[in-house]
Amino acid sequence: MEKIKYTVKIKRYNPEEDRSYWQDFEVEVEDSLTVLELLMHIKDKMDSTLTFRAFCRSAICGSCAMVINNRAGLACKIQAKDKIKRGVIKIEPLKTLKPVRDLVVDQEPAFDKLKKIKPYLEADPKIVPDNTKVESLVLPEEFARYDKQTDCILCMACYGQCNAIEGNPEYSGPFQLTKVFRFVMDTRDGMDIQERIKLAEDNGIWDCVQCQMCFAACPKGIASCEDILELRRVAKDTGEDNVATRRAKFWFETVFATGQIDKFNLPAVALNDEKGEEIRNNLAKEFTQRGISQEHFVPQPFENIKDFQKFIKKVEKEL
Amino acid sequence: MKKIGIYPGCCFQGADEHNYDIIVAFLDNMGLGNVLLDRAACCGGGVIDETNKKIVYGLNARNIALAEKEGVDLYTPCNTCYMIIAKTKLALDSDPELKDAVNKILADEGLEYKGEAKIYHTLNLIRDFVGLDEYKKRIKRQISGVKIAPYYGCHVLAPNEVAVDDPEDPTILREILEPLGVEIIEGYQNETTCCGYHAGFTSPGQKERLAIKPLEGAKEAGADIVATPCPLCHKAMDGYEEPILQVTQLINVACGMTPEETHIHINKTEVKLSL
Amino acid sequence: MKIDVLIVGAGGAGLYAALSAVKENKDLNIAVLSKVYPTRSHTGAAQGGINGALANVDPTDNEELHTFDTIKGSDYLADQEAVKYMCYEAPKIIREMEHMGVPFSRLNNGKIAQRPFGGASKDRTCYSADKMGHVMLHTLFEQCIKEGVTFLNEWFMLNLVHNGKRLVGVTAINIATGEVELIKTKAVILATGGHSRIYWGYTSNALGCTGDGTAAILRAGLPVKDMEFLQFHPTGLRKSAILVTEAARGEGGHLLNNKGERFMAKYAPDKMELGPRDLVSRSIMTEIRENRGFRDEEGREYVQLDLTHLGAEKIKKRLPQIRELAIDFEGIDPIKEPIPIKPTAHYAMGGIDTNVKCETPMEGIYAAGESQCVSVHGANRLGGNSLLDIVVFGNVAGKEAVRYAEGTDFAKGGEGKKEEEVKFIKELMNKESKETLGDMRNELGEIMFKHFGVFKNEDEMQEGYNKLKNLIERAHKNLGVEDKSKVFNLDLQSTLEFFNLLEIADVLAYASLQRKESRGTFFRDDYEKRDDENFLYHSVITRNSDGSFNYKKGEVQLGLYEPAERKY
Ligand SMILES: Cc1cc2nc3c(=O)[nH]c(=O)nc-3n(C[C@H](O)[C@H](O)[C@H](O)COP(=O)(O)OP(=O)(O)OC[C@H]3O[C@@H](n4cnc5c(N)ncnc54)[C@H](O)[C@@H]3O)c2cc1C
Ligand code: SF4
Ligand code: SF4
Ligand code: FES
Repeated sequence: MEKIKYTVKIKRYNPEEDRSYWQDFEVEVEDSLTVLELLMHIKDKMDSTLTFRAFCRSAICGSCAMVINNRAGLACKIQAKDKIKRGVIKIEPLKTLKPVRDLVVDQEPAFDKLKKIKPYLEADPKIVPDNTKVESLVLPEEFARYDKQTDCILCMACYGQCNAIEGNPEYSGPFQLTKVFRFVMDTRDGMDIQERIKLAEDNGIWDCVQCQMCFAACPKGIASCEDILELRRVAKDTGEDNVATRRAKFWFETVFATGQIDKFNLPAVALNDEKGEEIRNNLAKEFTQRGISQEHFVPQPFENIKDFQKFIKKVEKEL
Repeated sequence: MKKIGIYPGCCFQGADEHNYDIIVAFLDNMGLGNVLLDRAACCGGGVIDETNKKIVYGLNARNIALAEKEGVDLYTPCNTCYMIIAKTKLALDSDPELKDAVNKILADEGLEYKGEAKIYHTLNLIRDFVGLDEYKKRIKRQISGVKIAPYYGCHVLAPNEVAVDDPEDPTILREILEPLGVEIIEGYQNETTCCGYHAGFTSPGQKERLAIKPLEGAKEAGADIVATPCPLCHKAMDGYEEPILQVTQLINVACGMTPEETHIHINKTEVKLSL
Repeated sequence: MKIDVLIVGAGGAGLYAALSAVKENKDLNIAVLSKVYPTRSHTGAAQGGINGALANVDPTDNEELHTFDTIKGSDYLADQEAVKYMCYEAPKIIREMEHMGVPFSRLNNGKIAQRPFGGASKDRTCYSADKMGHVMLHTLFEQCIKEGVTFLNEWFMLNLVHNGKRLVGVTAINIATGEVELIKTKAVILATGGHSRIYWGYTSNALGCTGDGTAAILRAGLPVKDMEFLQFHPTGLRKSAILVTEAARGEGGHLLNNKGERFMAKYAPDKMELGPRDLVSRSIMTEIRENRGFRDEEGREYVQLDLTHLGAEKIKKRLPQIRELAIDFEGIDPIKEPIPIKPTAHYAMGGIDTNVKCETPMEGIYAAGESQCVSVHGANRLGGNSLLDIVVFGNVAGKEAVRYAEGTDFAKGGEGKKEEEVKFIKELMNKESKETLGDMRNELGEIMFKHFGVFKNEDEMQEGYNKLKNLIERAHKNLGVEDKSKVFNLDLQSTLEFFNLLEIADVLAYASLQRKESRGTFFRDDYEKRDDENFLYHSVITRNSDGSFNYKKGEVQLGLYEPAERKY
């Protein structure tokens, strides 16, 4: 059995003194440990006060999310030796939640946000039978639309990495919005789609900055960022008219017409108000000052644009 | 001369037209020839998805196929274009059915996605296509006496599958900036916070709150300038107290160009480089 | 704090009990107390599926066959009427959960998909890929949110308080603050899960499957039942003992020895890999004992579970989690290579003694789930029957507890017990540790696996019991809590859990020594045959105030099927 030596740098939090500090542990351990086993080793052999949550140790209960080398993930799923960088592994509590003690954070606020989006099926009486003699029928391809999303273990790794929360603490969070998506897609759900979408909107779909960090953090490979785009699409398709849906429509239209998004007119169209007009006027002024010719204000269709348009039509229909 | 295909995204357009000059000059300074992929289309910008996600695959399979037709790899300086195109490539390469389906449609335009072209962003272009040694040789002068805070932005480090460097401990930006003779400031507050660009329309307040965070962190840590490879981060974060530049602009200066020649004077927040 | 009906445990059993209690009477004050956040509960780790004769795949299946398979699987130790009740409830309760939103895998006609499972005569196991427990637990939790169920999350139950006639309340620590509270309650449902962690290091169970409720029952002077029956699952991962679901064999996986033979042909020529768990575990251990297993560099012995012939698509679709676990914890992709496996301590058939109404002999105290022993699993549980058991009896317990609480008031007293707890914990915290918890836990696991493992015999068990007694004595003398903080003191909690494990290991070892036969999962080299004449009974054990055990023979309710030899 091979043993290796390295430093484990842990950001601890002492609640009695309300103080965060880094502590180094020098370990010499087998090279086959998970980060969780490494922490258990430290707790068992070096410092029994080191505090962290863990339960299943098999990446299914969602207890052990923490930040390992600046990235949130599950301690029990990650091999320690892959994380040694220049002799050091750095471990911290999830960043967008308050520490309770050492690596344990207060998850209640994130759970409260989950509760707010009504994270449950409201059975649709048209699909879900009112007796237990039969089940509702769901075709495999219908289930496939939200199958992945039901893998979520509420570990909050995504939440701990979410930039939208950095900018707006009220933002609901990636896994919460994935949950909305999951129910929007479930054919058995009877809650009015507008209500589901309103829940998504009130809880932040327009605040997401599409940074992809939720996807990068998720131990289950769930891309909340993409679910959020899908929710935006559903919002648009169910008649929502706002700056974002106007932007989305205009974006597609101009890309279809020229191959590129028309950024000159976009603010005016999307904002659809005086401010938008003002931005356009200012842009025009700036362009003129910089000697940009009028025809360069907006993208021009490239050669054989018709072929491109046929292509897009076909992609929409056939892919 | 080695050639690379320039992918024209929306960051070369309208008010951002000068970005095109910047990268053409940069490629020139690196001793690379280029082909402009002029029939390439918008990568979708994370917005086309709101119409139909499949279009993203179609658009970018086509963009890559255009590069392949020219026999070149594809290069974009934009973090987002890079991420979206690279993600598409990954999807196509790991899903033969999807690839076949796209290719059937691409055939109408006489195109084929083969999966041969690599996708480059400025950072991995310098490291893997130019080579760091060659890169260093091409630097003509030192920009000394300035403290620079590297800022990667998100989409070159996430998702992990397309990250241009170890997302947990990236060093590539430092390795690129160091040879310019600048002093590097790392580990500042909010170094990895998103610039907020993509919330610019959907939630302007959100964009404002985010954009300023890394800038303030860098300033507090004593940096004179923040340097990002990404034209969108640049656009989102320019105009606050702490100035921000694109890495390619600094490289161009170190390769002998004047700040004006590489459009540093267009910055909203003024930048002074003592040369 | 006062709560009409308190449910301790937020796994499948606890959450189902909560839902049924709330639906039964919304006006009562009903709460769920759990040491971990509900969705962390071990039910979430269940992979393979839940049994019910829906007959979606095989139209010839029915409740009666399910009943028979379960009784046969139990080696005739199960109470037959109870089994019948569970199996006839199964299709209804599974559909009920489907209506709540459980995302089951589906057949092409849209009905719930079912797969073959060990010991079942038909394709009866409903599933959601290989994460059945996970989606069930989360759906039940979602419905609890919908119904506005109150949760006391990250509270650790210490003990039951009763006055000899009926329940008074429970004592518990709020982990976040370290405060001990007496929670007065009219009725309590113990849904605290299993105790396979007594095989520390050799178990598929979560770190917290420490039988806290069962140990509390013993301390309260109440009976536990059939404790000698603890199931070894045939396929645990070699290094971590993490489970590889039976569904891997249900989907067609092969077990191979070092000669590349499908050795199950020798032991269960008909059912092959889909023989019942007890039989397959013994077969694997026999192969290993007779040098037909593999041995790795670290000396770990194992056999192989080969899925490669199933093909990438089937593995990715039906067993995605298994693939992930094998990659993460063994570094092996089952699409390309066989998985190294060995038996792992998995499921406690024994537990808190209750009747079919989930009542213990003490008024106001109920139990449900893995912590409970009705018994419906007898000497060996069939795969897919536990997820069923926990919801069927969770449902019963919820209703019964509400009915009881409706007709009664809070009992008086109990404050003294709280003081006792505070004093006990204080002493523990002030004590200097002479040994470490980590070492002692490992020692416990070693003793149990070696002496009370897949194969047992008198000498081995006697030796093991002596070692165990010694460990228990040392633990009480030498073990203190080094962490002195009040906030989130998991060192204290783990120590208390360890004392519970010792309590349970003790009674399990004792019960094992009394049973001089082999039945189901309980197998002795020195008594290889089942002995219905002398041992067709439930062992019912209470602890006397002097620490000794009181052992009684409980009647097994037959009536439907006469005990017969089990063949597969
Ligand atoms: C890896 C694995 C796979 C399995 N697969 C299957 C399968 O495919 N099919 C099947 O039918 N069965 C399966 N089983 C068995 C089945 O999952 C369990 O028996 C069942 O889930 C137990 O449910 P439960 O509600 O009784 O207990 P648990 O889910 O274990 O819940 C116990 C609850 O009690 C709480 N608790 C415990 N002690 C205390 C305390 N002192 N204070 C406060 N709260 C406390 C815990 O917090 C938890 O909420 C599997 C088991 C394992 C280990
Ligand atoms: S993509 Fe959106 S939801 Fe995901 S981490 Fe970034 S801001 Fe948060
Ligand atoms: S989406 Fe992924 S990272 Fe986020 S809570 Fe769910 S499982 Fe965890
Ligand atoms: S311990 Fe359960 S997810 Fe890590």
